[in-house]
Amino acid sequence: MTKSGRKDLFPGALEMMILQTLQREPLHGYALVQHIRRASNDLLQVEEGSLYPALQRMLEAGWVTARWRVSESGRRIRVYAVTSAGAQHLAREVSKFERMLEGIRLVLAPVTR
Amino acid sequence: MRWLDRLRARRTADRDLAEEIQQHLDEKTEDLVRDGMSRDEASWAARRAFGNVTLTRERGRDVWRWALVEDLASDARYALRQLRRSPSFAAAAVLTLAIGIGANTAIFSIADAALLNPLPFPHPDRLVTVNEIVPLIGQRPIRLTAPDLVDFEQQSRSFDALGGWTPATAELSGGHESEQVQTVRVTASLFAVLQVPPALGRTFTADEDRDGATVCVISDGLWHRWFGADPDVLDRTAHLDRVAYRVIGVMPRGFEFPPRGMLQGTRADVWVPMSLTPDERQARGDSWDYNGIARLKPGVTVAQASADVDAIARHIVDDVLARQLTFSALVRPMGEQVSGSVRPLVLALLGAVACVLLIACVNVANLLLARGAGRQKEMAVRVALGAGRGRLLRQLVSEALLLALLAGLAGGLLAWWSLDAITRVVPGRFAALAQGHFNWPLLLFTAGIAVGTAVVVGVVPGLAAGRGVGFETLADRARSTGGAPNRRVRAALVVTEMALAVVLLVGAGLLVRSFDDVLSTGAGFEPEGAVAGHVDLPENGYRDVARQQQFYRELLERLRARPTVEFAGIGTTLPLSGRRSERVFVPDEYTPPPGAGFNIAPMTVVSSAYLQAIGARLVHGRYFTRQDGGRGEPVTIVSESLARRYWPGRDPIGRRLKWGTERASRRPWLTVIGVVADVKLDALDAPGNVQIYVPADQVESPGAPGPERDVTIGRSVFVVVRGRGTADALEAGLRETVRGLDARLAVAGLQPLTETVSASAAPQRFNMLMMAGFAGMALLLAAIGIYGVVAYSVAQRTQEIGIRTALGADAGRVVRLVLREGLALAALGVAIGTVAAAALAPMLKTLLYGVKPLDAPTFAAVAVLLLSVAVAATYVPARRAARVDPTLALRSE
Repeated sequence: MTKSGRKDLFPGALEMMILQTLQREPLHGYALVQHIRRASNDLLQVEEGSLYPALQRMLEAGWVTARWRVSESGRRIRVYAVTSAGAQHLAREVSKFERMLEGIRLVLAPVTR
Repeated sequence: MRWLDRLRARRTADRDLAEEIQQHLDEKTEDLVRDGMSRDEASWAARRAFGNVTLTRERGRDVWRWALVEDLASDARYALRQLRRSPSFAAAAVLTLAIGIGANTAIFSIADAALLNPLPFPHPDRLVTVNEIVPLIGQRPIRLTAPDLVDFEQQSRSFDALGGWTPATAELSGGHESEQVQTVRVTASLFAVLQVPPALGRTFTADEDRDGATVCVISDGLWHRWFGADPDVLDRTAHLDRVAYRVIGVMPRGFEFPPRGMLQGTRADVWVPMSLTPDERQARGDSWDYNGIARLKPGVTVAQASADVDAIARHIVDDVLARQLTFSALVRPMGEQVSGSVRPLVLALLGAVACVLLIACVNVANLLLARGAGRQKEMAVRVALGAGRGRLLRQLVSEALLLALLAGLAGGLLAWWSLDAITRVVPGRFAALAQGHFNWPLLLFTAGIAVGTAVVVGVVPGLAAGRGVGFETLADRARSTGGAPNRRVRAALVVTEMALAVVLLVGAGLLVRSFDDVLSTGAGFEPEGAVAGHVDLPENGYRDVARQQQFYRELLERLRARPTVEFAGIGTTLPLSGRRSERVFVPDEYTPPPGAGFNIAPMTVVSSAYLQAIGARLVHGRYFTRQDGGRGEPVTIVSESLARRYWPGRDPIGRRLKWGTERASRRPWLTVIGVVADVKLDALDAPGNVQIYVPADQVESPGAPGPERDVTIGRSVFVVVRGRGTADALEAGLRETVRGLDARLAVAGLQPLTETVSASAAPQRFNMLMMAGFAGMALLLAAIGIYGVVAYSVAQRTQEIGIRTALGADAGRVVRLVLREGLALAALGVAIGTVAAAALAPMLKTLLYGVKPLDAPTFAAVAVLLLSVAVAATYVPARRAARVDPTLALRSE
């Protein structure tokens, strides 16, 4: 059984990171995991068990498209790319997230009066 | 075909996902190998990091919306497979629930019709009956006299309308073979009270009512049967008692008045104007034969309306009757009276079916618990193979739902069929019950209860199984440890159902004893060997009393001349017919206690051989003879109760009584020449009554001097024939003789007196059969329940029993051990049930006759019966336990 080491930061965080990553360049699942881990300096570890259901959800929602391709190493990979709907969704989510972050920062900031 | 595309897309998505995950794992493995791991290690590490592949795929699949439907389908398929794998479990559970659901739906449907919607008229809550209470007669509300009805109708202010009705029968002739039909004399205002317009034509006007117009309104049934649904039926004629009545209206289909439950016998087909005769209008304080019915004005309460009519009654008592006779008047909701007579029975039946459903649920809970325990391992395996908690839960729920669905279907069929059967055998007195219709919402409701039960008892153990899973369960150590609390719950369930079964059996037992008592007490006459029917001489042609008497004389002579006939008689009542005519009389040599009211007794005018013909038992003196004629001394025969009440401790023969209220009246004294046993006039379970018989030949002939109107035998009589040979032959002889005298005359309700008796016992038989049926179900279910628990416990204790056997316990000892377990449960259940039954039995009181609610023999018999059933049910697993092979039992560990 899976041990529940994966804890979403908050609902929607995983999707946001995936969309952000894919906006830079279309990637397949394994590469996505690697990229997020490297980009976050190993701070964030995407649980593979959550990644694929999330990708399925996003496909269904029309935020990403998937295409089968053969990689440079000759492996059949499924590459995901962001759609315009996905890009809009990401923009909305990012601005929401930034507002939230700003709020949190204000609350946590030392009182300077 | 969008959904087809969708399905194809889903298939592809699933395949893509599977490949994608595989590629992911391969890629990771290769990376790890590159980092210096062995391929096997790398492959394992990759899989471990990924987690549960199946689960991931399932969750990925869940994204596509069809998942829900497909999962349900697969759940249902899987559930079906599971049930098919254990067919005896499935059959037991489905059947048990089906019985509970079916019985409940049927009885609730009946109760719904009988208690909640007994009146098929608009705004039934505003319909009331108007009654009088005459303290001299008793405290029971009775019907009205004709002049009181007229006064109430004219003077009351609380009602939109107030009307009266009184039932009668009539010979319907012309064009077809004549038949006796149920007619009702109704006031013109009655249809305004009911607020049901005719489907064709119109109803009476007040003028037609007052003037005695020969017009009639007919039922939809008669319109079809007699007039072939002729659309031009209006202004055609119906010959009632050989008088032409013009048809002026046809009531709509389904219209029934009086409503079922208010009239014994068949439904009415013809309504004629009440047209009170001058005699009837003047009969103050006499003949309480008129039913009053009214519709409350909006906003007027029953209490206000009661006060209104009572004020009118007080006025009549003070000003008209000059306080010679006092009475009060009241109104009562009509619905209550239609359903009132069946209320105790319906409530008892509701209680009984609720018990059955409860037992059924307990039983299924037991079965599911046993299965749940047995499936812990299966659940553990499925969890290990990657099934999510939600998925398992859904699986359990869907199994429970499937069970309930099957049971609901079977229960629906059962309800349908039994409702049909029940409403067909409902005795006349409970006619309100026969309106029960199959009630879909109720089926869903009861099925819902069953589903709830199934889900709770199916899921709880399943969840427990799912939570505790892991190696331990897989390694099968749970077998010896997991059972104990479970077993305690199941034991408690069995005790519960035993207790419920006791309650039901006690109820049924009491009703069986009651029925037995009703039959064995006897009705005061000998039904064997006699047949009786009813002859109504139409007024047209038999208006003359002399003509009537000539007809009766010839009829009796011809009957007596038949070789097989021993006694032939006519009388104005027949035992158990419900037909009676009460008269006020004064007994001689009797000092009434202070404040005593009038002396009232049902009077029967009889021909000389009537009492012998019905087989009334002679207690003292003699029967009437043909010498007790017009010129002889006026004589009478009274019932045992009457002799005992008025002349206690004295020889009743030679005592005297006269009709009326005053000793000083010029009416003749009637001398008592005989005493017969009390004959039940209304019902077998009615108490014995004072009764007076007078010979027909002494009824005053027309024109005879007399200060008041006097009795005549009338045009409506019962003919009773006692003789040798079959009942069929006697009936044929009677019919033939009547037709020989008047070819158009029909004999109504001709049947052996034995059938009259059994029809009268029908309510008790019905109560008993229904209750016994439910008790039987309860007993069966309880037996299955205790068998299940003991059998399961034996299976669990196979090793223990094996060890005992190995240590020298013989078979007898093992059997005793198991029996003791079953009996302990049963005894506890019986004890609790007996206490509960003792608390509940008094509620059956109104249904019982001759048996006390706390009838010790019944309670004892039920206890013995249940304990024996428990022993029998336990014996089977006990024998199995005794045959346990110790070596096998021990080796299996």
